[in-house]
Amino acid sequence: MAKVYLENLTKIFEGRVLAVDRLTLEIPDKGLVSLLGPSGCGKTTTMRMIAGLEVPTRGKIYFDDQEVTDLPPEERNVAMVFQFPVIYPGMTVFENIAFPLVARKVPKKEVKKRVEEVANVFGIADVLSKKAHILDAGTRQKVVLARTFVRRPHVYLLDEPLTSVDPSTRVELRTVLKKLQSHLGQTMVYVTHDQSEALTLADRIAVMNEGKLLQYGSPEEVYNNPKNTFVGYFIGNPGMNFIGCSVEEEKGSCVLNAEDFRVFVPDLPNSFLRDFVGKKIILGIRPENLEIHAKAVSGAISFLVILVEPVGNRLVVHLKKGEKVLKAKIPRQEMSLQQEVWVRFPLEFLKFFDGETLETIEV
Amino acid sequence: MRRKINWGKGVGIGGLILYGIFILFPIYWTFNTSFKEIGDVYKVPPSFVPTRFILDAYRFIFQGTGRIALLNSLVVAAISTAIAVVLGTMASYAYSRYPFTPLTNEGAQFNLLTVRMFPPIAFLLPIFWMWKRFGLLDTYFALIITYTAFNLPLAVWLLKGFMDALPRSIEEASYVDGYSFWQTIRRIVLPLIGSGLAATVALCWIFIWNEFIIAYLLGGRNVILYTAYLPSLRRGMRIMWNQIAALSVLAIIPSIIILVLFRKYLVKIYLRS
Repeated sequence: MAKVYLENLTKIFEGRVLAVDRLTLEIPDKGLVSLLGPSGCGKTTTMRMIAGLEVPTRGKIYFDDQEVTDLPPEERNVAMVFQFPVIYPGMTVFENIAFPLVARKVPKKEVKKRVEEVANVFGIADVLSKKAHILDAGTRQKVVLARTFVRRPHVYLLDEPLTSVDPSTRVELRTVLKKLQSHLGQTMVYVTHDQSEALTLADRIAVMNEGKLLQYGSPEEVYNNPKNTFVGYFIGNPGMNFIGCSVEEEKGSCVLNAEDFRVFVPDLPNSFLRDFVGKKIILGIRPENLEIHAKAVSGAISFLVILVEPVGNRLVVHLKKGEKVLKAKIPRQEMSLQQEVWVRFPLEFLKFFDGETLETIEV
Repeated sequence: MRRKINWGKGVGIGGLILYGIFILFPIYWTFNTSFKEIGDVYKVPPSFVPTRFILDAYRFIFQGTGRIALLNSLVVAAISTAIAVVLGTMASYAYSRYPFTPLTNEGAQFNLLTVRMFPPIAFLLPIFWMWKRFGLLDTYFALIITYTAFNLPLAVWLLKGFMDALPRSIEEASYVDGYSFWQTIRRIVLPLIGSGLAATVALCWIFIWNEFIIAYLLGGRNVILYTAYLPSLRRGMRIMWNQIAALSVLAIIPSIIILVLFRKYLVKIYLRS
């Protein structure tokens, strides 16, 4: 168990490709932090640097107060799950799981006890004597996870551990992981590009893009108060709606002019928007926060329904007015194409982003 | 249905039997000849089955230079194969894992192959003069180094294929699991390329064991290998076929042992290429 601290971590591949850019991040002891971002955002590279598989170009890595930047992986006492299950071919499942314990010269009896324990947790006790490489992908990933959790390292590193397994196993393993983490109370870093996985599992989420840390906070924080449009777009399913507007002043209250429609913001403390009068800003609102009415209500804007996607007991409705397209996520109901609906933007859910920097504007 | 004769299969099996006879008969004939007296060898018509097992030829080989030549061959082949496989394993790991350094990039890998593209005789004269200048002609050292030089590229090339097939992430997982580089090589990499190692050992061994020109040019007096000794088995104008046959039978034994032991892996490597 340890706190992990990354200080100004930078990785440049072959002197050209900037994979991770001055990343500073504190992963609290016993915390489950998710590194979230699209493919190629540097999250896996960050993970590999924590594991010691990549040497940072600049910056330092600390476990608690000990600097480990120059330690090789085998001396760091970390456990890692790779994206594609790495099993040791030719070894049985038991030998695979016991492998890290053997490295640490754990007595045989103890090894047997711990392997059986962890095999039960992952439901693979019945295949312990089989050769690991003949198993299917899902079971193999379970073997790999068992091999990871058979010991108590400073930190668990999981690199998209559930992408290579089928959806039903994924849900099952996600539950097992969550339970394990709260039960063991161990530091864990979880790399994923699946925002819903991050939101369900993590205590804190670090959203990355193009090698940079964009936001670091609790799932609620990242979800409710995205620091910039990228985080807003990447978190949530579907992501946040963005509408480019210019700020105008009309009869003492603020109006956001999106050309195709206008949104009044009367009650908001006017001070901050007044600074933006005449400038471009981006209005953001989550699809699930849009209000849809079948009939005209005051303050609502009429939109046309152009696409309806059922998602479980919800509908994702694509709405169009002029050039602008919005997505709304609403409870399942009758909704037909080309239907006219009225959309209200509840003020409390509106987010504002600077039109140039794309950073959030603090209200 | 059951009565129907499968002609295709019949012809196939018949062909294989003929082929088998074609391949095995010379070996049998060597075996047969090795138990004859020299007088019987030249008899017409020859006896197809040994009637008496006369061990004179074997006795001659065992008591004379033949034994030394066989032992020399064993020593040279074993040491040279060992060096080629050990160095080849290390080099192939480098070629496979770090393919961008000046020593291991594509050009360097191609250079490896060129040694094998020319017939050995093309290099042999300069090599001969080199050892002569060093005063090392006719020594174990010269023979072992020369054979190793010819076998090493082959070993590297064969093993690199096996190394390439081994995912890097397996090694990385092993490091994270607490094993050092050398422990990982020993516990993960070597067992997983085991079949490659076996095949490489077999091929390197066979090359040396069957080789004549190098043995003849670089050795011959102090260090005589059995291939170089074979042609000297005559008395006056008479070729001692029974002694040659006896030496050949003895020489076949190590190759057969290796082939039988490593058969599985050799098939694999031929299928791969």
